[in-house]
Amino acid sequence: MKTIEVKNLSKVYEYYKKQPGLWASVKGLFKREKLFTEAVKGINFSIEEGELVGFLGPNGAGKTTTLKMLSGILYPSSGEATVLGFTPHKRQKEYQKQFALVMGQKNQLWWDLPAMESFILNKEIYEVSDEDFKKNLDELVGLLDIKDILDVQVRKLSLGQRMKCELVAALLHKPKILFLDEPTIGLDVVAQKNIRDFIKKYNQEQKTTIILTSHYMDDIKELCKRVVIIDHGTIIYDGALDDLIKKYAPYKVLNITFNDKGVEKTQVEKYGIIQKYNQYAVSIEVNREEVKKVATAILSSDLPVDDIMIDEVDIDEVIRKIFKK
Amino acid sequence: MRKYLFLIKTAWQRQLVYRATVYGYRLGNIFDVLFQVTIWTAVYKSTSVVYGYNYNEMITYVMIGWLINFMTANYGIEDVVSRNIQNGELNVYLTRPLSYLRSIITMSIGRTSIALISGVALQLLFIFIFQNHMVAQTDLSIILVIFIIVILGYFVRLLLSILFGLIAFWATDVSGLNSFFATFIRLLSGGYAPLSLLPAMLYKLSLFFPFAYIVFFPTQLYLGKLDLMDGIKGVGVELLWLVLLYVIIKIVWNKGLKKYEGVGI
Repeated sequence: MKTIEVKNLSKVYEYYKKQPGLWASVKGLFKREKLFTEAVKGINFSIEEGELVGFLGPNGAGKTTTLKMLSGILYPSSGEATVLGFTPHKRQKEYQKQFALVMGQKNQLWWDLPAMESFILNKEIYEVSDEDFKKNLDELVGLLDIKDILDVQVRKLSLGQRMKCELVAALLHKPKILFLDEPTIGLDVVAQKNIRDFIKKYNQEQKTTIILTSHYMDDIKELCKRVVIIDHGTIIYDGALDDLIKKYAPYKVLNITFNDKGVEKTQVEKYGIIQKYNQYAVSIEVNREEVKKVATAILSSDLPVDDIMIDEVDIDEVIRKIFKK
Repeated sequence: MRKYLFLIKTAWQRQLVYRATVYGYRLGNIFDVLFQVTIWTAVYKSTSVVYGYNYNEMITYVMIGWLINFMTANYGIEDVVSRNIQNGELNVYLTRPLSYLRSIITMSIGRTSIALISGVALQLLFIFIFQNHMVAQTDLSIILVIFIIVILGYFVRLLLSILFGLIAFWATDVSGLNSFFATFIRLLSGGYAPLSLLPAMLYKLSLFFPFAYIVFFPTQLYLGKLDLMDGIKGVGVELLWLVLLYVIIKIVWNKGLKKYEGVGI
């Protein structure tokens, strides 16, 4: 059995149209034009136990809506989702005890109390035994290195510290599945990396199935072998991150540096599409199949080559290209 | 059940963080009480009986009325509920093995307890100061009934607040509505003045609604203007309303939740 199985899942939102202006607002009190928007359009995917899958997509692509349906907050308009054999929107306790949802922009901790109080409350809510609680807490606190901030009011913590505490609160009951919606949003680079390292380690050690959404390519690159790309409510790619590059970037980049007097642009143009040019450094796009041939040709030409490197296209660029289409 | 007890405990701890706010409120209440005493004292300069209340009875109404007002107050649970809905904090509840309605009820008990203690303490001080101008009620059975009515009154008010808070499922901004609601409840519960001041028809009508039983009814019992039998009937009416309100809340909650989840679109 798959841990998560999604079939033809759709979500339509209802909203109202309002013309600009005061008079339109008054009219709107009596008669409103109802409009529908399809946030998720019949998506299909399945996830195995222990996988760490990245959901990638621009704002409004349907990532969060999908997570909300998987965690039972939203009722699907059509299609079905099965998680651990449960139907999420029925909100059975047995299911709720086995997953956790962390939203980077919302918090579940009690703002005015130290995080520890929220942890203790969660222990009761999820009915975790004293023994397990102590063990899990020690482990998580150790991994995230937050021993000294447990007794500080949450409102006084930095965003990064708070996110760490959110993660602890979400993981105290050892969920089998973890939904992470933009866990690194707004964090500085160091804090982002800390959170990332933790997620990676936790996934490896606990075999927790994790779905992660993020705007930051670094998160996805670092953590996910598999990526699901959503745009306008449909999945446009589902597969290994490495294959994504091959599929959407059928070329590699030759980065060549020259010495002596360098080269003229006209001397290298015949090898492929020039991405960057200056006298001493040139980047050329070359089809995957021809890359070896072209590299050999350049090396055996009389150009003053100092060094030559064959690089994959940057994933960020690939993604940007996909969303531009 | 245990988890809900912990919710009370946590809410209580949170409340302790806000001691200063609590005292701030009480300071405001001092002026409220004194203002009412001043007004009535002025009114009784020219007459000795107003709508069947002599001066001492009216002062008793103000003092006991405020005491009961403090005991039944929930300090804006409707705001908490509407905020939860609008800010999406409800999501947290919906994904955890925890009932939102039960949580908010238990949480408010923790949330109000500190304010309750300080409010009651302050009001008892007032009662002590004004005791010479007050009527005393010594019948223990009446006092017991009053006590039951006040506890039920707390829950009636709480359920009304929750019901109003749930409007946020449909309206985008409810802060105006909520402030109207607070004044409305206070007026109809007899928090500003005895409901006997109302035209007879309205007064009779008000006894069919739950509001009158929050402040007015128990205060009348204290004054001896209603007897034990009336009191027991009052308990019955309040119990009926509690059940009714709970059913209405359940229906509204389920409807609202369907909208929140976007069912059937």
